[in-house]
Formats: sequence, C-alpha cells, structure tokens
Amino acid sequence: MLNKEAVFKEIFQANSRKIFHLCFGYTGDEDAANDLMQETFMKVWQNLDKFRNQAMISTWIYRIAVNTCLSWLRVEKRQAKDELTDNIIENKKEELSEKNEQIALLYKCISQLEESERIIITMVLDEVPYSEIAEISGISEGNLRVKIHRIKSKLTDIYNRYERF
Amino acid sequence: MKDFDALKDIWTVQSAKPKLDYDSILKQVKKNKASYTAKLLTETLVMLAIVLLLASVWIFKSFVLWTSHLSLFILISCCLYYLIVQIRDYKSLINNNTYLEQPDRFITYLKEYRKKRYILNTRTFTAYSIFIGIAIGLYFIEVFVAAPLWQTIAAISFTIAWFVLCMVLMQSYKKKEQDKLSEIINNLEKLEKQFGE
Repeated sequence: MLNKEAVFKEIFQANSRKIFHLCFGYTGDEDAANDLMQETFMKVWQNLDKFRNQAMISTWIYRIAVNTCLSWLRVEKRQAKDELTDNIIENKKEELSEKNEQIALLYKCISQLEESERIIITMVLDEVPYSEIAEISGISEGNLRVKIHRIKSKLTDIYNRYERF
Repeated sequence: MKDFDALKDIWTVQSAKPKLDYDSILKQVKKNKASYTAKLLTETLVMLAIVLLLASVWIFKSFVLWTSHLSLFILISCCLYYLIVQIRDYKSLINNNTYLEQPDRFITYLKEYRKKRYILNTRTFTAYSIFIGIAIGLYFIEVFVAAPLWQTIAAISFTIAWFVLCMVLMQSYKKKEQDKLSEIINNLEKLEKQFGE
C-alpha cells in the first residue's frame, strides 16, 4: 500500500500540471479544471495496478483525462464559464499583470475552439510528442499533423482578433 | 500580431497550477469509496430487512385468498430485483475500464450507458411502480373480505392515489430526462464526429 502511494505520488508530481492545463483548456474554468483533474487522478489510483507494466504511463493518464473531460456535462455550466472568463478579462484587469492577462486571453481563445481541438492544442502547447497525442486521441499521425496545423492557425487568428480590440 | 510560437511562449510562463496535491486526492479516493460502500450496504440491508419482513408475514400469517400470496410474491420479487440492479450497477462501476479506451470508443460507451440509465429510470421504474401497485391492490382484496367497509375504501383510495402520484411524477420526470438525454446524445455524437474526422 505504501509502495502504491509512493508510486502514485511520483506519477502525480510528474503529470498533474499538464493534466491541469488540459482540463483548464477544455473547461475554461479553474474550479471545474481542479474537479476534473481530481477525478482523473482518482481513476489513475483505481487503475494503478494495470498501469504498472505500461511503458508510457503519461499516455494512459492523458487518455483518462481526455475521457473524463469528454464526459463532463457542460450544458449547465457553459454560461457560468463564459461569464467567468469574461470576468477575468474585463472586470479584473487591474489585478492582472500583462502576462496573466495574455494567459487569460489565451485560455479564452482556446475555449472557443471545438472540444477535440481544445484537447489537442493544450497537448501541443505542453509539448507532448505528436506520436503520443495520436495514441491518446486515436487519430492517425498523418491526420493529426493536418489537424494541428489547422488548429494552430485558427487559434492564432482568434487571439490576434481579440488583441486588436 | 502574434504567431503560434509567441502563443507558446505565453503558455510556457503561465502560473496556472492545480489547487490539489496528491494527498488530498488520496483522501478523497478513500472517502468516496467508504461513502459509496456505506450507501450500498445501507440500501442492501434495508432491502433485506423488508424482504425478511415480507417473507415472515407470508410464512407466519395465514391468508385466506390466493391474491394475498400473489401480492407478497410480487412484492418480494420487486425488492430482490431492486437489490440485484443495485449490486450489478456497483460491480460494473468498480470494474469499469472504459476510461482507458480511445475517445471515440469511450463516447460510444457513454452513449449506450446513458441510454441504459434512461431506460432504467423511466420504463423499468414505471413497470416497477405498476407491479408494486398491483401487489398492494391484490393485498387489499383480503382486507376487503376481513375488514370493515370504511377501511377497505380508505385502502383502495390510497392505492389509487399512489398510482396517480407515481404516474404524474413519472411523466414530468420522463420529459426532463428525455430532454436531457437528447442533449447529451447530441453532444456526444458531435464529439464522436470530431474524433472520427
């Protein structure tokens, strides 16, 4: 049991930040991102014995995180999320440094992408190798490269459009 | 104007960090497991107590009419069915590995799971309520034979009121569930398409 906890701690420390980014990028809401990250790691704990022989543990964790995000019910929360993101951008400007403002804007832009695009781009931004992203999302590497190219220009367009105003 | 590399630079320096540490997650895992086990155990014990109570009534009380025997049989069957569904659900929940599947397969699983839950919450629950209503009705036939008229009328009125209440509540519940399910299925289909492209 103690050994399991030590393994879990190691896995958590190595992956939690990136998983949090993925959840934050998907939901656009910090609290929801924390909830989803917690749910993800709870599933990791429950399946830890099955992971032991896996070479790429991060792939499995990402896949759990992606599926956890996909099963998240956004219907009732969408409005709250939009309000929150707008709040960060418009009402709390004085509290934000320029850097934080840019990050908040980036998250706002990511939230305007399609669900699968949000997941893929947060992994790209966190420098997950393309082969791993393909394995996680179940998309062929060739297709993925095309998708990534499209998402990158879409995100850049949205960001620049906001920054102009 | 920023290019993607500039966005990546913004992303890299972000300070967004999770509020949770591994210790609080472990505590939550243990808490969830304990509370779910306690809930299931309580439900199982309550149902078992009801089944035992009904069985002892059946064994130790002598009924005149066959309708009362049928009534008790239906009631016990309903309780056992409920118990089996609960245990089956719990087992499938703890043995569920679908979170390890690729997203498109996981979405297909979610669609099927939501449909199954919808059927359980609507059609199966309606059948369950009707069977319990019939069982109570059958039991009151013997009450009619043995008890004064006013008690029989009160019992029948109660049974009818119970039926009506179940049906009215079920109708609004069904509509809400149907709307919610359609929305969820539409979202899942949209996601499935995105990952399948």
